[in-house]
Amino acid sequence: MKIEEIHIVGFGKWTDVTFRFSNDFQIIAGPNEAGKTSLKAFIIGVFFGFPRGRRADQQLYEPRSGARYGGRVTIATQKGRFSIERLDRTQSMLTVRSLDSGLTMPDPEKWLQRLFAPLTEKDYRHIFSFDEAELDQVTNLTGDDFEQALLTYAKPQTQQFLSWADQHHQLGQQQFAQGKNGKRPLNMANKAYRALQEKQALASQQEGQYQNLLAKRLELEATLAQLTDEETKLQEALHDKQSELADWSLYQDVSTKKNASKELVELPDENRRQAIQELEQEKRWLEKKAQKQQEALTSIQQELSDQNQVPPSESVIRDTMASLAAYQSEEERIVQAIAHAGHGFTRGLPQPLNQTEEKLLQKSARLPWTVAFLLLGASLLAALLLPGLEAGLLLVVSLALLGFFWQQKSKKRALLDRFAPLNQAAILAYQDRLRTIYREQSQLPLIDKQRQQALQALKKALLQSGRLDEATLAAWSDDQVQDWVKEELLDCRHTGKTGLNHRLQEALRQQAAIAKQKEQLAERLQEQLAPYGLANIDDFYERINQQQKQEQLLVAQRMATKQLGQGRLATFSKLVDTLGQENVANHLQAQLGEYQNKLASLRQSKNQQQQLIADVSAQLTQLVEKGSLTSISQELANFESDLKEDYVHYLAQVLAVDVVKRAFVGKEDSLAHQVFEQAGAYLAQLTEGAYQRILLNDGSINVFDSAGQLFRAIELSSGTRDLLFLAIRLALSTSVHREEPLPLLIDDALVHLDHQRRQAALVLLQELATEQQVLFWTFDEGLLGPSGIRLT
Amino acid sequence: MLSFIHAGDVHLGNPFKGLSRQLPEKFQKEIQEASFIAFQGLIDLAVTEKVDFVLFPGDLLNGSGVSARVQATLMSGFRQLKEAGITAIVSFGNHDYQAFDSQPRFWPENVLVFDHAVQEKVLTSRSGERVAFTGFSYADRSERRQRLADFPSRNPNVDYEIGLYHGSVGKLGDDYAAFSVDEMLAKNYDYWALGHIHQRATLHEQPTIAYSGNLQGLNRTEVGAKGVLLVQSGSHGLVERFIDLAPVRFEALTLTNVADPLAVVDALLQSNYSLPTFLTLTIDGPLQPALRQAYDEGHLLEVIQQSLPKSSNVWPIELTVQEQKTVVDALSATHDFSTAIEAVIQEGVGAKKLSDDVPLVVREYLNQPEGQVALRKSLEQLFSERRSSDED
Repeated sequence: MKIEEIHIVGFGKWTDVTFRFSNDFQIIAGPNEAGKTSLKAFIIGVFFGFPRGRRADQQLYEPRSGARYGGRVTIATQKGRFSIERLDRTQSMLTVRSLDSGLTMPDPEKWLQRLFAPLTEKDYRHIFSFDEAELDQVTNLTGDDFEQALLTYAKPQTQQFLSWADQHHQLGQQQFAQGKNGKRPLNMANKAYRALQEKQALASQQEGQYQNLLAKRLELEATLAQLTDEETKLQEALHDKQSELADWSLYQDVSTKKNASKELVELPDENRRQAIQELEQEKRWLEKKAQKQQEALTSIQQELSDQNQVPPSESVIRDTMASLAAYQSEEERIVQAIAHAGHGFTRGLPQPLNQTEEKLLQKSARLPWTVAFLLLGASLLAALLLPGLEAGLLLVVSLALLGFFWQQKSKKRALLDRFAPLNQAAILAYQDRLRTIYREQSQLPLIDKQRQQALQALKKALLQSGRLDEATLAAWSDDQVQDWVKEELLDCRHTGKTGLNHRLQEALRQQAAIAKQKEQLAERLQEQLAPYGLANIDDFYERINQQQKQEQLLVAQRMATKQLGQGRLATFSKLVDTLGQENVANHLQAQLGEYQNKLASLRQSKNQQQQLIADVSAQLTQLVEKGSLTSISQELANFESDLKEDYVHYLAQVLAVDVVKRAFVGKEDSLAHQVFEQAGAYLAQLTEGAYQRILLNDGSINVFDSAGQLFRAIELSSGTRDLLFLAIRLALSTSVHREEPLPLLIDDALVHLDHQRRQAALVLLQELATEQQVLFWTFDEGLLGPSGIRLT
Repeated sequence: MLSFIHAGDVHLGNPFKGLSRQLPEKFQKEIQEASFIAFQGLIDLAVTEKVDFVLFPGDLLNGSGVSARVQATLMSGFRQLKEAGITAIVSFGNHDYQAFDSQPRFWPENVLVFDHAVQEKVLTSRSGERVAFTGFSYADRSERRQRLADFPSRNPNVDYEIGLYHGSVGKLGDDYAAFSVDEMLAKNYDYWALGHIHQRATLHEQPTIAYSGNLQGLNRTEVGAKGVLLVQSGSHGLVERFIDLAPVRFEALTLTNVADPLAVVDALLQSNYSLPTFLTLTIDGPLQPALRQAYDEGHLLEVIQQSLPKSSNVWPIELTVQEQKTVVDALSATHDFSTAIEAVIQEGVGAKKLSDDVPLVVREYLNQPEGQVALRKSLEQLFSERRSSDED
């Protein structure tokens, strides 16, 4: 943008005057009070509004002539030429007219705002418009928000993103404060995390004990193993001592009984000893027999005395039983007789002969046959001699006789067959016995019937006497009943008084016989024992016992000697020699005691050791069970994960501003950096290299001289400081509002500079003026060129 | 028959990373127990399968601060192996190198530990095969030497030779014992049990050169089933089979066309994860209005988490929205916020905003790519929010 012309209707000392600025570097010279500052104020007033008089010290530039306040500025922009007219100080009237189209802008204030946007009047004053006194106002910009302010100037659309990012920055800062003592959520989380870390370290330290305890346990176990080893050895020694002690008594036994064992008792020889033993056994058998006999005798005598006291039911039973027995034996006898009788016959027991048969058998067999044959011969002779009827008749008779005799003979043969193998005479002699047998046989049913009756009577008697109940009787067979009765009641078969007496006699006789046998035996035994001075059989056995004991002792002595062994025997005999027989036992006992004590104390330390191991093991188990390292580590890992996420979130919030700036600057360097780079270059030019570089650090401006030494702005001379601020302003003016470079309005700003620096500044301004218009007011009329404007 | 378990990177007792303190109690409990459960699973597997050996090629533990529980668990596991007649073979890696001096002396004698120098240990399997194991332990957090050169060629007097190697493919001088597959093959071994890389991978077959991956996924990048390799001899040499042992999983899920937070919750509940699962959730495509507001305000993940029933087996821990429009496109071409965000992050402007009061781990995180990615994402979301408010 260029200011081509200004026309003042009325402003301070100026009334109805027009200035044309034909040069890019336009010098307007005039002495003090020539109205230089009024011109600058007029231009700014037209652009941004006239002074409203709100501040007491504010100059209002009311026209001294009383003309109408205000005027017109003609500018040329990239969009064309415009005339901006502002009349009246308060409630002023603004008109913007395009000189190209002649059109008037509908909203001239907005038009002007857009023209300068994003710069406000203040910004314009801070950068583009200044006098010597205002130079340092540029520092109002270079505070904390310099970068942001620059961005706003450079890229107006940044503002909305920046304010959005700012909000997030604030949100982020609500989460975390950089300071050590912040109380915001993430600061608190840091503390909690550190506390958990300490907890983990503590747990780690505690559980580090696990290794130590394991090592301790290994050590204890080694000691225990050693103790166990010692125990085993000591136990062996103890056993050895115990056996030595036991051997000692053996040794003593053996040595004291040595002599006694040599004499053996005299004994009968083997054969005689056997004979004696046999006799003794026989004697014992006889005594047993005598005893039994005595018992039988006593029993018989008892029975005899009991005879009268038999109860009536029992006598009935006994009688019935006797009858039964009688019937039975009768039956048996008959059956046996029948069996016996039939035994010799080929065809079983034959029926006895009847009278006819007996007669047939008694007849002679030869005579009838002789008679018959004689008759037959005579009849044949007669037939030869006397043929006739008589002879024939005789023949018929004799043949008939022969036939009759033949029949008789057949019958007889059949009888003999029946009684085979008996002959005729024997058969006849046997007939009486045979008939008796058959008679008796015919009586069998009768006897049986009687036996049945007796049986019934027996059962009845048993029932009545209560000896057996009905059920038992029903269940038992007849034989069972009888057997039971026999066993229970009638064991004595000889119940009859006569029988008993007989038995008594017999028993007495036997007893006498046994007594005699015993007597004989005793004599024979005595004969055998006497030669050895043995009074009786007990002495005999005593003698044998003695002998056996002596033999055993001898064997034991031999065994013991072998058992003790040569070594032990040598030890003992040495001990006996050193200590004397009577002290050896005590000596051994003392040694044993010593070993036992040692073992006891060893076992005690072993127990202690085991207890220690158990303690360590318990501690180990407890560490495992209560150990929280694993879970704390997991908790810490989870915490870390949460913290990472939270801090990522926090950083995203606070970095949004950086991202926005970066996006809008589009370069790696920040805008501030660019500006100060440029300002540094200008400063170097203005100071002819005395100062090289400018650095903005936390809002304060520093410069480096050619030697690289750093100075704060306040440390510089006022002239140099003015150059510094000028350089920054110029750098800013070239960086800001680049699309439409704005005119610089410089009012006697170089008065403090020496000639050389002033020249340098003017050269620089002239250079800059090729890019943007410079209106330069000065009292130095020497600077006026041909197109300069002289104020009077 | 020879059989063994290859269990690299157990990291016993290592805390899960990247989870919040706001996890539901159920999941808190799961993560406290997970690595211990997985380790016991490993021991049980060894005992049931009656393997001959269990190989731990590095990072069995997580560091020097070994908790009592970790130590007790480890010793108990080793004792169980001992009772079952199984030998454990341990080499230390870049995470647990410090444990080399402190731990092994308490371990039972069935645990063999590799020295810092490359060693060969010849053992006999149950069925009488002679098996040589060769490996080394880290002496420091990094191993820049060429360690493979120290490995001897296959021992001719054994039935099998197995290498234990904690490191990664790379060039000499890299931090973690760099090796190449060809160099390994040149040794003629029957199996290479690798450690260090947490992602299960087979670098070569017949002979196998493989990473078993870690036993339990511990952060969102360690997705899917985790466990060990069960290796058995067969007609084709030593053949490995993966056995899933981790009781907790990390998974990634991408959803498309979801209308509102409840639809997301429904999709999660229908995802049928059988194990407790931490989910990295991506929503694809432009967000529906019902999701947009919550997302722009940064609450969407929280809204989804809070809408899940208590019984849910799934817990989303991260939410990313994949949109066609980028921040750059959304703004006028003159305002390249994406580039500006990148520039601000690259300059490390953030670090200047964090005083020493902020835990070191957080400051370090923000200086590392991972933290910078998160910061970038957060800033982009913030500017995306700004953009959408402009549109409003």
